[in-house]
Amino acid sequence: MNRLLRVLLGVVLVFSAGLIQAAPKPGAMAPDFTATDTQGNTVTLSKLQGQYVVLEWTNHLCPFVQKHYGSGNMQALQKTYTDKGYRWYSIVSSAPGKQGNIDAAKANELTTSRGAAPSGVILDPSGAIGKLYDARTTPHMFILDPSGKLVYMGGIDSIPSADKGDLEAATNYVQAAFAELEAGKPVSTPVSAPYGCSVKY
Amino acid sequence: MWLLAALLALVPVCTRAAPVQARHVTVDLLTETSTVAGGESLWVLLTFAPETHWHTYWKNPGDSGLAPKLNWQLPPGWQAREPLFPTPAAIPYGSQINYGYESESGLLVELVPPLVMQEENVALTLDARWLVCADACVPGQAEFKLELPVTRFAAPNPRHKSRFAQARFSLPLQLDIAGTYRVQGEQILVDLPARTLPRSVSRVFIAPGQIAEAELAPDLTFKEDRLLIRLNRHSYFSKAPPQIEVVLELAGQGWSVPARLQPQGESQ
Repeated sequence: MNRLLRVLLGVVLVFSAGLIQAAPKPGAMAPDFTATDTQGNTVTLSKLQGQYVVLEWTNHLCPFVQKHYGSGNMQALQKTYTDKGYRWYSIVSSAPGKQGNIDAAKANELTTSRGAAPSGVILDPSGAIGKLYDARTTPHMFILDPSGKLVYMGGIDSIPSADKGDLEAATNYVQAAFAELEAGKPVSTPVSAPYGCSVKY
Repeated sequence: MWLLAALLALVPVCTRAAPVQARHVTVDLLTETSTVAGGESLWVLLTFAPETHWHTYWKNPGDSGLAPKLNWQLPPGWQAREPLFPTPAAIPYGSQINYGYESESGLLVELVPPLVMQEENVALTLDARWLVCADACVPGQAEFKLELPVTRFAAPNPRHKSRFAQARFSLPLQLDIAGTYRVQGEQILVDLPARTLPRSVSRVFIAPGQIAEAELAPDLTFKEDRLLIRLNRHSYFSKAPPQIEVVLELAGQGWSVPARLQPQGESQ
């Protein structure tokens, strides 16, 4: 209970004092936030500078999310990039009573049962972080470069569908972006259509 | 080989695959005629009847969701055109807006056979995939098989006549005019000849997606005989296509106008 309370308190966000955040845009600094993940760790985006950061909006009951977790696709990406020391946060912006709204215990159970490997899961029941990023769908992906700039935002891949059968033919935009970034090149597709269920604000 | 031919001859003619009672939506496929003839397009209608409070999607689903996907398996020489979608409705979900249908909708598809067909019957198979959503979303899939005899002239199917008439009535009216659009900073500016448009149109739907943000009350200005539409450029806009489709709506009636890209404004 104590822990749950701490986590719930943790998602009360601390924004940079009085700053009005603009909508996220590739090439611009990503909006900053501070939150507590479901393991009780404090996460402040601006303090993660020096590392790549992936933000993944998720809802475990959404069929588009299930496509990428049921196939092991999302977990494989998480593992690949967290193994390199990049940070990966899965964010749940489902409001209380809405589909996908979970507590920290459930989030951790999902991480274990699905073999997921994010750096942390952040619960955002007020939708504050989701709205800060204008997150529209689950999944919806954002990549920040080590300087904190947004270098990719959009869909996870190029074939909008809930079918696992489409994964093979699709271009995974997270993978494509990292391949270019790691080669010292700019991201050639910095924006793509996010597809999936609506975020359940 | 003769055995196969004999078996095929036993297959009953089928102008309507059995309706599929999928989760939260009933999906059906009908043909306009009961036979097919070489060189004469066969029109088919794929209908989605969602349960109350559930909806399916337009070709641009809006802020989330997914348009139905149709994958045809047709005999050699046949071609399936892109489906024609009825005029959509704006379906708000919190601060997000989707485009789609909260009641029965029908997608019309033109199937073009070759000029000459030797076979006695043709088999047409459709693999249809869709997403139906309320608060939750449920993807669905069904395979429809049609079997039609080949005749010299296609025989009308009176039982499906009213369904096709209704489906055609629900399509946005294709106006024989064309406008232009340009990207100016954070805005999409559309300029249409408006002589044949009602001045009280209130809704605008743009296809494809990721061009303009969905808006319930778009900025429309009638200026002499032109309609100027000012929309917010989509946050996920990446490239202006040579042409977009602008669908205007008033009380369920739609008008469709193509708008070609006017390159001058692009550099601003």
